[in-house]
Amino acid sequence: MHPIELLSITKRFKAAEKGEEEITILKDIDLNVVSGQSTAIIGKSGSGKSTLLHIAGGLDSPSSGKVLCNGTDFATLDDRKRSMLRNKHIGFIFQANLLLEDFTALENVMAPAMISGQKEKDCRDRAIQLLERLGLAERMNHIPGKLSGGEKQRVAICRALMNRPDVILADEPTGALDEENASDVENILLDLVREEGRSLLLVTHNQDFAFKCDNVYMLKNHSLNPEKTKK
Amino acid sequence: MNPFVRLWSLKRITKRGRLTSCLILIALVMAPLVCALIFSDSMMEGITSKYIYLSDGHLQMEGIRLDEFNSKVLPSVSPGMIYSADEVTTGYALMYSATGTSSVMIKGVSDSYFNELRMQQVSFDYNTEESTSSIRSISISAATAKKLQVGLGDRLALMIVPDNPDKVLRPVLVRIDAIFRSGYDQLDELICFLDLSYAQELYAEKSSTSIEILVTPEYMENLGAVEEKLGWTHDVTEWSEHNVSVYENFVTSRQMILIILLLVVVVAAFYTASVAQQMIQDDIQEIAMVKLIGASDTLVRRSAFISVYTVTLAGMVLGIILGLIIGSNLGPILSLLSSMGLDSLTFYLLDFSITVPWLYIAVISACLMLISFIAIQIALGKTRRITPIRLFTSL
Repeated sequence: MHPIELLSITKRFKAAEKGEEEITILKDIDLNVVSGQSTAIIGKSGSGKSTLLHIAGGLDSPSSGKVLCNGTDFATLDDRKRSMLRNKHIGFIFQANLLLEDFTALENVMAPAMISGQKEKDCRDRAIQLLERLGLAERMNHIPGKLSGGEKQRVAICRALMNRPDVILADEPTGALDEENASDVENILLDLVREEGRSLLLVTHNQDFAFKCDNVYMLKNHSLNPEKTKK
Repeated sequence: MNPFVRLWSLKRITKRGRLTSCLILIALVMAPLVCALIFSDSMMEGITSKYIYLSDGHLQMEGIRLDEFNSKVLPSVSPGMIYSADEVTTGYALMYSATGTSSVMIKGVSDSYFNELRMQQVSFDYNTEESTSSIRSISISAATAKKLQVGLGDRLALMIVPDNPDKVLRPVLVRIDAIFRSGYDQLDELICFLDLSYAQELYAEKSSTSIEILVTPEYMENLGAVEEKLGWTHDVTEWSEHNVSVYENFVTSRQMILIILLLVVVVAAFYTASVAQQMIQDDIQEIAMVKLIGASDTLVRRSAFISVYTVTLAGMVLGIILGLIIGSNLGPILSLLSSMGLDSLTFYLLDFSITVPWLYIAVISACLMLISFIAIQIALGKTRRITPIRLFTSL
């Protein structure tokens, strides 16, 4: 059983105007995110990488095909169960860090664990440990508005790892950072994923970053083609 | 409570005073409502007391003299039920001064009539000049004295309206030896007091005489029990039966005030729903983010509900406290307004003890909380349509 399995995923968008044909973004895509391995998807802008990631995370529904998270089909779950599955098994990191503006860095990191109903003290201890590991011990009581872009992204990584999810879904996590910060965040993300034994599904157009992963796929002409696979 | 719900709700409540306007509005609605309830209830209680203590007593027994009451009726009543029982003769008269006329109710009372309880409701100014004439004394109200332009020591002509239609109208001369004021001019200008024996001379019919009974404070809310003990020989009536229109006016006024206040509360409750709706509109991104990290719609709604409901509750409590503070000081405020020449206040009782209608306040508060509860829940239904994917479609 894989943390994420995409089975024959097709995604079509309705035409903007009447009479025009539907636009196919993804066609019959199969992908297994293997436990403990990192997988990158590269491709040109507009190729459907982010759409694929949203479908893999249960944020969007495919036009046809199935998305299994630890063997459970997202389509069969109601809002509460789908939220719970996302909360426990998936961590998200996006280009725009999507932190809660009124929460401190520490509270942002604690949020997923608090949502799942864990004890506040346990949440705090784990969040502090993660923030310290990423060099944010001095910044944990700052709100996102007072943090730099690199710091915000590191907070987002901590948040994604907070609940010890089976898989991290990352969409251009370094896209908004300068070269130095981007390189830092790349290394931190990959190191943490390996240390914590998580799977990573990364979407990026940064080939250097992608090829640091165990598996690399190219999304081209609505299909995935393997570029690098780990035996 | 889920720790995240608690934290998020707290963040929202304290966030840049966004919900402050809601708190202030609810407080500003509740304060006058509580004040209006205190004013109307205290005023009605005050006026009722004036009618009871100066006009009719708690209970009245018709056509019986005091000695008969004391010997036959009183022994059947449990000790501690009756505070006082006084023989009273009542009739009507036209009162003339050199400059005016007034129609009044003459009450013949003995010296013991103005006991401690009655004296709490009325104050007297007495004529200190000794009189050598045989003209009888009368006590009139300050309102009547003003109307007839007379004062202590002045004389008045009373045209006695006979209790028997066969008798003829006859005038008598009286001297004003006391002027009283109860604070409620509407009632004061209807009554004047004469000595009981003289009133009985003027109104000789037995039907003009009755026993005015005041019950002890423990039985004031349970007049029926006293009535039951007394009523086996003679008819017993309550003050409300003698003043049906006044009593029904009070009942109707109370109901109307409560209905109007409830309507105001409904509007305020729906305002809280619109605040909730606006909050959801402002927080679409934040809600989508929270849903992205695994919060269910129920959790999102619960947090938003707690934020708005807590502020509504706080506003309500603040409003009640403000209303109680202002309401408890209504006497001085009304006196000040009256002294500033607000003529309409002369129709009200300005000096009354404050009664806090806790039951009505509880009803109003419960309505506010219940209607806001439902209205906010309906308003929060919108959160269901906010999905994490909105984060990316709106970026």
